[in-house]
Amino acid sequence: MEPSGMVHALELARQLLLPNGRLLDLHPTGEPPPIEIRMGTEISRVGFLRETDDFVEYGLADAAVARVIREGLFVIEKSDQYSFDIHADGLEELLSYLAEEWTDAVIDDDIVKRIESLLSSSETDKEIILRDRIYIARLRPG
Amino acid sequence: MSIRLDPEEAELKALAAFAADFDGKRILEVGCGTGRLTWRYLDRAAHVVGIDPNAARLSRAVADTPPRLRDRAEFHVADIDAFAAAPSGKFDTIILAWSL
Repeated sequence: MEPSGMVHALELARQLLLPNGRLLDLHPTGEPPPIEIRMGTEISRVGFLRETDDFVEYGLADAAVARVIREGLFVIEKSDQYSFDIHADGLEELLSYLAEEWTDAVIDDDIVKRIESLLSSSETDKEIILRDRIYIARLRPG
Repeated sequence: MSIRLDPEEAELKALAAFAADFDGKRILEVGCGTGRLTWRYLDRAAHVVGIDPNAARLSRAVADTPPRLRDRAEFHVADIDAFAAAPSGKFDTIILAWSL
């Protein structure tokens, strides 16, 4: 979505809210999501997922929210971040999930090799964990 | 072999902390997709309208709506522009679900 489209969407949301209503905005922070391998109780970070363009939109979303607050359309009541974790039993499952749900995500070849190497161990209790940082904010009409 | 999304329920905890309560509220979820987030609060809301421009993803939301909650949820293939052109009333809470 274009930056002006994001501001417009926030303006429409304001129109659709009751006077005492609340707007919840959730979107990824744009920080590269770390990829980890858990083997039993040991967790190893193997690298980061790379996004080709979505992270730009997350920055624009932050700017759009900041703008409508500046203009008095909304007042921010609270904000925070949390980790939305995706657990995959294997690389094939993770790549298949990303192909369907996160189409601009790339796991570079060197990271793929590290994942394959770690997952080839004889440990049976193992998984891949992708950690996406999510921004959440509650806003009320200004 | 599978994918598990947010088994720690960090998203649910964040929603609970930020929305305070969904009880009896009329909620619009913009970008509801397959309804993954919707199912986390639908049982407490009075009514939920989910919109998403992706018809295929929205059809999964419709199909996956728990039968006992079908009268509380409605889904429309629309972005917020199209929906706002003919809104069905105002909402207590609007959730922008990764949709800005």
